[in-house]
Amino acid sequence: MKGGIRYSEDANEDEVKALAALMTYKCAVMDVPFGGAKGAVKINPKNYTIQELEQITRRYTSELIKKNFIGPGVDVPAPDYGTGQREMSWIADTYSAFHPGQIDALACVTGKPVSQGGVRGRLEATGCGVFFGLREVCSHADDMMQLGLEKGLEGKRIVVQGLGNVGYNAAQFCQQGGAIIVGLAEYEGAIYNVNGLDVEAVMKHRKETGSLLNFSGATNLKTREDALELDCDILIPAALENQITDENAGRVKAKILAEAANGPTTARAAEILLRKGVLVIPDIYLNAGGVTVSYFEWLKNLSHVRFGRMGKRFEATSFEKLLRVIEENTGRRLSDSERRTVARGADEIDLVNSGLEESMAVAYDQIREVWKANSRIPSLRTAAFIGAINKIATCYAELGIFP
Amino acid sequence: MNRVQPQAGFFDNVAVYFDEAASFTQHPKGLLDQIKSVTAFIRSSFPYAPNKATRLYLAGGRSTVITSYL
Repeated sequence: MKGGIRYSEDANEDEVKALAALMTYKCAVMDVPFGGAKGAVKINPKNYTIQELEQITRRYTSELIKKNFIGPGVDVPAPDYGTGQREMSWIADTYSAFHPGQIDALACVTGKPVSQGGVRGRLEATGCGVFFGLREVCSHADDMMQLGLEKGLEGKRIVVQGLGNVGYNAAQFCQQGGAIIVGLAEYEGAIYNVNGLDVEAVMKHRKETGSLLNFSGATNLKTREDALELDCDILIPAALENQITDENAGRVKAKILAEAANGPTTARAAEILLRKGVLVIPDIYLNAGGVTVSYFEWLKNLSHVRFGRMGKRFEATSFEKLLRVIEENTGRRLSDSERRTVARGADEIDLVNSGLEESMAVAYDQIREVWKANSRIPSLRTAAFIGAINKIATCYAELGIFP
Repeated sequence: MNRVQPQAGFFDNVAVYFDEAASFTQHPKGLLDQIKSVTAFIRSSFPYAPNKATRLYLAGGRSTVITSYL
């Protein structure tokens, strides 16, 4: 099983069960071989010192160990709201201490720092996956035409709600990909600039002043919820669940709702958006970059070798030989810059990003194929769920019955 | 709109999405129920001692659904 651990005062059983269920379908959508899981501790981590958080994390881990709810082949937690690399390190260390000599112990948890067995690219994976997913969706000219939009992510006006790890990285990658970030929101409020906001500069301003409000050239909005109703092409809710409800769904102006958070849209709101013609890209696809790269980290921990280590030099040498043949036959000598671009082997980060990009592209093709195959299927979400159910059902059916 | 109760919880919302999608498949109800069910949930109240004189209890839990291998 696979799923994050969140530290939140608002956590409850209903939420944890729902998120665990979503993880199951998300893994199936992405062809990641895990069932779903989710964990929570009902605290506000801001009210505790680092030492106290370490004590709490290690104690919670021991509870999971005692009840056999954690292990490389049992259940593999990951970061979620209120937790991060630091907490995953403590979990891995606690698990290892209880399992001396277990060679795969580090695979008991993902989202660890690279120094503790993590994989390069995991930290920004969910946000990067949001970008890859959006780029895939926007690459279909006929779908975009139905929304009154041009093909491609370039030039699309985006509003991001939530500037945590997911929202910040999604905004950064989309901006680098040519989109215009016109609105950003956090708990203290929201800012808007029709000409675009420099995400990095806004983050610097927020770090210096403690708020993203009053950013030069931007208009302040009173609450972060106001950002959900801004005029834009793509709205990315990247905070918590239940942000788009039947109360505010009717006022959403975006043509595309990109669910970077888990469950940001209630089912009633989803129906309103569907009637309005808004294209909702479901969470079980769009924010699956995190679990996908977590899967890569788990594989790395089980294989005990960094991705690219065995093949990088061999690949570079092979490309070098090929270039020499091309140079001899064409009579053109490549510049050092051209040579460095072509004659190189893949690093771990290259392979992780490439694997994530491929996973997001393949998964969207599968979802879209289901969606387009039956005109009665109302939404990408339903199509994604159908695909997930079919995959799991086939798995169960072919499993047989034992004993 | 009538399919979803105004006060529906998060898990109910997920169930609505699942049921709608399931209606487009040909799988038997038993198999769909098996996929939909939550396999296990642990609810834990565990001690935490911020100092030698104090012992607090925190609420934690973890839910697991199913194992699917593709």
